[in-house]
Formats: sequence, C-alpha cells, structure tokens
Amino acid sequence: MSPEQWRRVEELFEAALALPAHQREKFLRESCGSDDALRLHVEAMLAADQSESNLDTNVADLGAAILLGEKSELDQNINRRIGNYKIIREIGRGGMGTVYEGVRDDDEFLQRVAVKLIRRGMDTDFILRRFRNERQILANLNHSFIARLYDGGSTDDHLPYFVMEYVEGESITHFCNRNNSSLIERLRLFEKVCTAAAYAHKRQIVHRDIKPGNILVTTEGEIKLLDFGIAKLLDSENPSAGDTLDSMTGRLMTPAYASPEQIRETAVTPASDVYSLGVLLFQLLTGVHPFKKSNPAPYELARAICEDAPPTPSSVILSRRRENPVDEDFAETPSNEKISPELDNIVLKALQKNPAERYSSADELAADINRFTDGQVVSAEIHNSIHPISVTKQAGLNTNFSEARTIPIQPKKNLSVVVLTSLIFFAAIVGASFWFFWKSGNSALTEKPAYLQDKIKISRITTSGQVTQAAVSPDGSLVAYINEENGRQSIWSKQSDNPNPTLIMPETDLKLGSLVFTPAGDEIYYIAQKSENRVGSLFRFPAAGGASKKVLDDVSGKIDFAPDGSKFVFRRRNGGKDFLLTASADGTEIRELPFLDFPALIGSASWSPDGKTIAFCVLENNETNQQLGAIYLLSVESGETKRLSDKKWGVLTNVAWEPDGTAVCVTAQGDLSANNIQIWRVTIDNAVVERVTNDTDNYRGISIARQSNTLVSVKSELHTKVWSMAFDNRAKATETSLTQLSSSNLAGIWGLEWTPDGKVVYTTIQDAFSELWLMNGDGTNQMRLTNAGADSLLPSVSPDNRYIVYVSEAGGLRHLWRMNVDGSNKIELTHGDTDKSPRISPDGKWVVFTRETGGKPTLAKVSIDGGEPVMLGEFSADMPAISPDGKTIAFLLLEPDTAGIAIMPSDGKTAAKIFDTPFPIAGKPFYSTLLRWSQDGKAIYFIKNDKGVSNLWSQPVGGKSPTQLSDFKTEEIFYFGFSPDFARLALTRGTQTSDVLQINLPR
Amino acid sequence: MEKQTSPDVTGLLLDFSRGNNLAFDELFPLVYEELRKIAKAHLKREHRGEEHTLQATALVHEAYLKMVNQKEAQWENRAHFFGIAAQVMRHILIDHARSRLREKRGGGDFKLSLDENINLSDEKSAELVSLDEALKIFAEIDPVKAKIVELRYFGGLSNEEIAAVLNIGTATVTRSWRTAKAWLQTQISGSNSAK
Repeated sequence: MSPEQWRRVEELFEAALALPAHQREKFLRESCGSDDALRLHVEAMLAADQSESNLDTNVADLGAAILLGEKSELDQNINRRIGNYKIIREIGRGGMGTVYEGVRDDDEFLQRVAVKLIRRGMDTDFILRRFRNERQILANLNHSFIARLYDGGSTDDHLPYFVMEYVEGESITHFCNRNNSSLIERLRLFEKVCTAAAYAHKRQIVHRDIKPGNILVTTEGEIKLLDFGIAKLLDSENPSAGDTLDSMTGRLMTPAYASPEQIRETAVTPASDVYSLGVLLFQLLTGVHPFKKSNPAPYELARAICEDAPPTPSSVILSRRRENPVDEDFAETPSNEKISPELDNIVLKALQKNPAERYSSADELAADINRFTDGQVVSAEIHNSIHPISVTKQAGLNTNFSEARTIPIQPKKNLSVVVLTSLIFFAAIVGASFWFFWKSGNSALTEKPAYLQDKIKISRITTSGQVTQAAVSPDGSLVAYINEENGRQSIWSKQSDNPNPTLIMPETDLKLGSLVFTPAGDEIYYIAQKSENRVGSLFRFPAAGGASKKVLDDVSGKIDFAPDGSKFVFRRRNGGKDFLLTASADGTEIRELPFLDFPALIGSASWSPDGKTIAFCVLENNETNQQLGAIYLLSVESGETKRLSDKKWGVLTNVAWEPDGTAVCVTAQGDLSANNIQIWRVTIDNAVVERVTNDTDNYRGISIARQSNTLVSVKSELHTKVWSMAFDNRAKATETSLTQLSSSNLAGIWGLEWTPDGKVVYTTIQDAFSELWLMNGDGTNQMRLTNAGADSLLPSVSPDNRYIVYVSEAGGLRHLWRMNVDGSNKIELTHGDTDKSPRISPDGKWVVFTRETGGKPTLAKVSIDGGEPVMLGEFSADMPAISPDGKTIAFLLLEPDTAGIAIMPSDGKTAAKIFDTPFPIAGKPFYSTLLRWSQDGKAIYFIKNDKGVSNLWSQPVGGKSPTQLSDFKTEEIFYFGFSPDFARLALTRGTQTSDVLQINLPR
Repeated sequence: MEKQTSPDVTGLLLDFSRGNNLAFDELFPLVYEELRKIAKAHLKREHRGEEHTLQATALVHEAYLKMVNQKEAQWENRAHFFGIAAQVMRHILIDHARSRLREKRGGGDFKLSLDENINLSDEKSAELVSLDEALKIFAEIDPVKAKIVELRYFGGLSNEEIAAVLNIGTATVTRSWRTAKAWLQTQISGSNSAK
C-alpha cells in the first residue's frame, strides 16, 4: 500500500467512525464506489476497532520485566577490598552510586558495614575535600535513630566511598503499609524521624535527601535515618563545579521529596528537610504523594512542587473513604482514619513553598506532632498563616484562645475516640486499653448533672472486667455477653436472678460482635469474623446454648430484628457505599430498603417497636469536613428519611429503641470535644436530648429489652488511688490496713517513692501527662514537682534526700532526669533511645536503669551526675532494684526461654541467678512486675496478679519458694514503695475493667 | 553528568536530532545499557522495601534523567530520547519473543530459559513478532502513526506524554492511535489466521 492509498483508507475510516454505526455501511458503499478492496479494508478496520485489540495489552511493562529478569555480568566489586572492608554483596543502587555490604577485613572483629561507593563521574577530589572538612561533624552525629558514618576515602581507582552503619530494615512507608499501622503509630514513628533530623539540625547538618528509602524501620522496630549529610558531600556548590550536572544529580534522582528551593537550587537549610518531612508525613497519612499523580514527567512534578498548592491530607482520605468507608463495629483500615484539620495544618505548614513559613526546625514539627498526639493545641494554623502562633502548653488552653486564632483541637478526645472506635468490637490488649483509659479518663466534667441521673437505676451485671459486648433478652430477664480472655472470646448468659453466668458458646479465635436476641428470645444472632477481615458472617444459635448455624455472609454493622422476628435489618457495603438491607430470619429473601443512595456512612440500625421505622446511626461530614454523628429515621414503607435532632454529636456508635417507641438511646460522644462516649436519650416527637449517664468512662454498645425498660451496655473504666499502710512482713495486710493518701484519679499509676524524711513522691495525670508531686506521709501538703508538659514518671529518691531521679519525656525521648527533692534544678542524665526504671544506689552515687534500644530492654548504670552509662549485660531485662547493701541487683529477666526474677552482682560482671518464681510475665503490663528488696536484703518483693486481684509476694534470695505478703481480695496493685525504715508501705491500687451495666430507664 | 567518563548522550541526541543517524547507532546501546542498569537497581531496591513494580514509563523517565544533561537538554532531545528508549524497549521485547519462538522450535538458545514471572507466552511472542513486522510496514506508509504506536505500545507512554514528546495535540494522538490500532489489528489477525 502506498502512503497515498493509506491516506484514503485513513480518511474513510475516520469519517465512518464519526457516523452512527448503522450509517457506516451505506457511507462506505457510496464513498468507495467500485473499489471493493478499499471498502473491505476500511470495513475490516472498523470491525477491528470494535473488537478487543491485542495492542491494548501492556507489553511495555513486560519489557521492563524482561530487563529485570536478565542476568547481568558479575559485579566486579564483589570481594574487592575497600579501605579496611571487604565487599560481600550489593544491597542497593541509587543515582549516586552503589551500596554494598562489607565486613571488616582486618580480622580484628567481625563488623558488618554498608559501603557506599560513589559512581564514576562525580568529582572525587571535591567530594573527598568536603568529606575531610565535614568528617568530624558527621562522625559526631551520634544518635540512635541515625545510621552512623564510620569512614570515608577513595578507592585505588579514585572513586569516593563512605562506610556506614549497616542497617537491616525496610523503608518506613513499606513498614507502615505492611503492618497496617494505625494513624497514631504512624505519627509516633514520624515524630521519631523528626527527632533524629532535629538532632542533626542542631549540629548544623541538613540531610537534603529525606525520603522513605532513606528512613528504615529496623527489624527491632526502630527508626534509622540513612545517609545523613551525604547529599551535601556529593552536592557541589563551588562555582567551578556549578556548570556540571553533578549538583543536580542527588535532587533529580528523587525530585519527589525535594523542596522548592532545592529544585530552584537556592539555599538549602534545615527548612528543606522540614519540607521533605512534610512530604513523608503526607504519604504516611494518605498513602499518596502530595503532587505526584501516577507517572508525571519530572519537569511537571518539579513545576507542581514549586507552584501548586498541595491538597489537604484529609481531603485525600475523604475521597478514598467514600469508596472504602470505615465500619465502627469492626477494625478499620488505619490509613482510612479520619484526619483532623489540625493534622492537615501541620502537614500544610511543613509543605509551605516559602521556607520561612514552614516550621523553622524539625524540632518544632516534632513538637506539633507531639502536641497533636497528646491532644494539645498545635501551632500550625489553618489557611497557611504567614505568622504561625506558637502556643505554649498550659492548662485550660482551649478556652483561653479565641477560635479565630487557633483551632481548639480535639485529639485528646479525638484520639480516645479513634482508639475507642477500634476497641468497640475487639477488647484491646491490656496495655492499649490502659493507655486509652489514661488518656481519656481524667477530664473535668463539663456537662451539668444528668437529667435522668436521679431517675435511673444502674447495676453491674458482670464482674469479669473483660466484657466486650452485651445484649439483653426481650423480656429483660437474661443478658448475653461476650467475654474475652487472652484474646479468645466466648459468649455467656446471665439470668437476672442467678448470680452465676452460663457459658453458651465456647471460646473461639474468631472475633464476635453484634450480639442480638430474636424477638421471641429463643435464639441469639451474632456476627463472627476472622480478625484480619473487615466483613463478617452472621450466625444464629439457641439462647440456651448449642450449635451455631450460618445465616448470611457479608454482614457488617449491627443487625436488628423487626418486631415480629420475621426479618432483620443489616448493613452491607457495596461499591463503596453503605446500604441497609433486610433479610428473612433464615438469611434468605434479601431486600434493599427503599432508599438506596444515602450519602454518608451508616452505622448500626434499630427497628422500632411498631415495625414502621428504622433508626440508624450515621457519620456525616459537616462543612469543615469533620465527621459528625447523627441519628436518622427511615420509614420502612415510604423510604423517607428524617434526621432526628440537630445536635452535633461526635462519634455516634449505637442506637436502640425504647420499648414504647417514644425515644431512642444512643452511645455517643456528646460533641467532638467530649472526652468519652456516654449514653444519651433522644425523644422521637420533639427530639429532646437528655443524658442518661454522666461519668468519665466509656460505654460500648447498647441493647434495650423489648418488653421492659432495661438497657444494657458495657462500661470501661480504670481508677487508681494511692494508699498507705503500716508494714509488717509477718502479718498479711488486708484492705482494712489501708489509708488513702491521694484520691485524685489515676494517682500513682506511673510510680511512687518515699523520701528519707517520710514524704511520698507520686505521679498524677494532668492534661494527659504524668507529672510528679510530693506529699506528706499522711497525704497532706500536696506539692507539684514537675510541670514539663511531658510525661514525668517512675521516681527514685536518693537516700541522702538530695535528688529525685526520674524518667521524663521533656527532651522528646524518655530519658533519666535528676532534680532536687524540692523540684528545682532539673537536668537530663542520659541520652539513650528510651531510658527508664531508675533506682538510685544506697550510697547515692549511681543509678541503675533500663535502657531500651530497638525495643530490647537491657540494664545499665550511670553516675548520679550523668555521663556515659555502663551496660550491665546484653540480656533482655527490666525493673532493676538494688539491694540495701548496694551489692546486688534484682531484675526481671525477659529472655524468651528464661523469664523470671533474677539477681546479679551490681558490677554486672558475673552471671545472674534466676529464681524459679511462678511469674506471669507474658502479656502483662509493666506494673505487675515491679520489684523491691526487703529491708534485710534477704528477699525480693513483687506483685502477683490473679484474675484482677493482686497481692505482694516475697521471693527469698536463698531460693526457697515465694510466699504471699498481703491478702487483698480486691483491686490490682500497680505500684508500691517502702518508707526508708520499712515501717510503712505505699501502694497504687485500682481496677481496670469493662463490665456489663444494666440501666433501668424511667417509665 | 557522566561528563568525564561517559559518552556525551546529550550531544549525541543533538546530533541525532540534526539528522546524524550514526548518532543513533551510538545512542541505542547506551540507552539499552542504562535501562538494564536501572531495572537491576530496581530489583536491588527491593531489599529496602521500596515498591518494585517496574513500569516501563518510569524506567524510561529515569533513564532520561540519568543520561541527558537537563541543563542543556532541548525539547527535541527529549522527544528523540523517548523515541530511542521506546525503540530499545521494542527491541528488547521482540528479541525476547524471537528467542522464545526459536527456543520452542529447538533453536537451542538456551540462556533464555524464561523467568516464570515474565509471562510471554508462545502465542504472545508470535503476536509480538508479527506486530513488529506490521509496524515496520506501517512506518513506511505513515511514519508518525508508527512512531505513536512505538511510543505507546513499546515505550508505555500515555497519550499525553506522546503528545508532549512529538509536539502534537493529544486529540491527534488519541485519534491516530485508534486508527493505527485498527489497521495493525487487521494486519496481525490476518497473518495469524494465515498461519
């Protein structure tokens, strides 16, 4: 075919395509005349156009895959010697060169290192000159989150190389995605990255190439920043090299993380790192890059970085969330967690085009993240203000600032709600729920006393403290509940007139929820899901116990029956939308309810007693994209929906009708700033909202009997107080021995200690932080010692009554600090990753403590004046305690195969002795494992927990079996400490429970 | 970059754009080698847990950044570079497909016992080879559309990218692609059915 013929074919093909299909044949006949070949040719093309084409398959990527699979010639650098190191294998390749694993080659000791060999073409002399200039600065970068730079030089063939700490790990983004890390986990990791960057910034070192590939999470779960300062060494800034491309190299290899000033090649400052950190944070929060859409041309990306305003992370999440909404009853995908405007502001402030408008340092960014996670006001403002207001932490902050200037933040509340949301269905591990309670349980009440409070009767139905959900039978006589022990759930039922519960469904690994009685009361339906799934299946079984039968797959949310029991309403997700459906009681005859396109997330539903209305919970966005709870009523007949009450709830998790149909009760956060989820009542006729409960705890789930005004819900609470008692190791203490010292809730939860002059140092929780206080031995004269706005905890008092050594996060990481006993003269003693559990020696000269590096706790000691700590062994251990003569350290050995109480000489040089104490370490929070010596140094006291009750026990150093020291019948002991003369014992005792409460609503 | 030791890719591209076809012969192996290196680096990066879905277009973009002096780069260079890269990718694929067919026929080129991941079936190999032949013919009668096919099908570029590279409108690319696709489809299904 000639080009001319082709042009004719093409012309006819395109003309025919422009016509409706049925006119094409006629058009071609007329156009082609007698040229049948031409007509057939075009017709064949039209047919091909309509059929599936081979050319639509993606072979280009196949080509790339072929390249990947091709073998390359053996890397000639393997086994080569570079400096003192032998190259073992290649571990990575980037724009600047290749990174190899190396080992030290001088046989001195085996040390794995990473050797970065800069590729040919870079200005070796320049790099080495600069390296020599900066070598000392870089070598001084001694931070556990920063991979060390050990050495540098040039190879025989004159290529620069750097020897660095070998880090085994994966990139932070990969780690978070693989582990499905929650928002808070991501923020905490990110904060660590900022801390590391800030550390370098203080030493005038800018990273210049912060990106996920340079931030690894080690196998121990710790952060390591790679290549700190390397980019600058490779980045020629001298005029003679300015016209080469070298200076561009580093940037152009990773333009996605470069700041506008790096792209424009203007001054690079710590603010450039702040920008890159902002990009990283954006990615951690949303999973996408602020500017990069699929595969943009690099120049397009560079332009966007310099010119375009980034979207808010919340808007990115929101658009995704519509496709894949959260389910309040089931674990949610963390990356789908709601992002508040404050967090948006933090990200946007870091991503400002003008460096002067960003956080001035990574420290500030870290501080704002920290404020956010701890529920403080962040300094980043909305609308990208040029003059950010830095807010110092103070009490009552939210009310002291006008809304126009700062945004009162909800995270303190928000976080508890986030955590709660994930707890609603799954009973959390003890530690997490402890944290949760701690964060949420300490707020002053802002609401007036409950309207209903004096009219309702509240009684506790269960005492296990481990209930995750409950349902009440139609007649109110029977409560079924899910109990979780060691992560396994079982279903129990309890008659109101019988104190003993009955096991009606044995333990299972599945996660259970949505417990509901049939209206006849003879059967219980529940949803079971594998923990990794978001959607469960609905099962039924006899209320008296018996085998379960599957009713229906793909059910989420809570189901509820129509009054006649013939069908139930349930929620299902389809195409990213929530639908309410009904099915007959046996799971067949699935019908869509009349409304189909409800533009919000739907939570649980409840069928009205007259069968005409379904009430359901909704999470909808307000104008500022906050998600607010609402109650809607759906007419089963007409499909008409109506919002019940204009109250702006926070999270609204459950709804249930009262038996006469005049009101519904809900579990909800009263508003976005409320600290906890309480039970409320809303009348149907005039939408009057009343509080049912009014306390500082949280309620999960709600179920109301059909024939009586009995409501059941699960209440979660933690309370501790500091007590004191006379101590006599021959008489077992009981509750009657106790005198209350401090009644502030959660007092002493993070430690207490007597001073030599008979006072008590203890912690209280204020503004979600643990602070240290001092009081007299009788509880009078309480005086504040710390006001760091950061956790201060685990005090140890020196025997000469000069110092208190304690753990504080005032400097960002948990380190040991020392202050005078009156709270003055605070200095930081240690600088590890996490240093904790300090105990001052009897001579007051040194402190033994636990240093946690990469998640592994080991024992160490340090002078009372600080300095370099000495490690006391490499085994995992915690909770050190020093014997009265100072010669022996007792501790908890936490090695996987040998765990228990152990002792060793305090010089740490000889082997440890391990006692055969029956000791429940696994899965227990730290406070259950506190150790203290007896006065005579012949025994070690410890706490033993048994079913929510703890007692003090004594392990004789001689090796005999431990004996019980106290005979408490109630509450857990969280912490204890002896007065110097051992005449008195102070105890932090309390309870941490989630149990079924029955509330009798007024008629 | 690569200034001191590597051939001047930027200069070669400039020569090529001025009609020096010898420059192409020099460029082709350079680009090939760079693409191969980048692909290998991608594989290694897996060690650090970065994503490793290697898209052809990302590969080509990266090669362009590495090989072409961005400060001296001219618009035409970009187009020519992407054109060459697409030809390289085409070459890789077709070479691979031919080897596959040869191996199948007992041609004995044993080094290419294929990776399981590279899902190039016999059928696909035959199709690729016949498409390559058809595209050669097409280039004689409509060089621009043949270029579009090469950039899109073998180079993995989007219509927008092709429009930018060839300095034509996106609508033209979209229309041309449809036409070219239809024609090529008639050619390869013809050749297949003829077998």
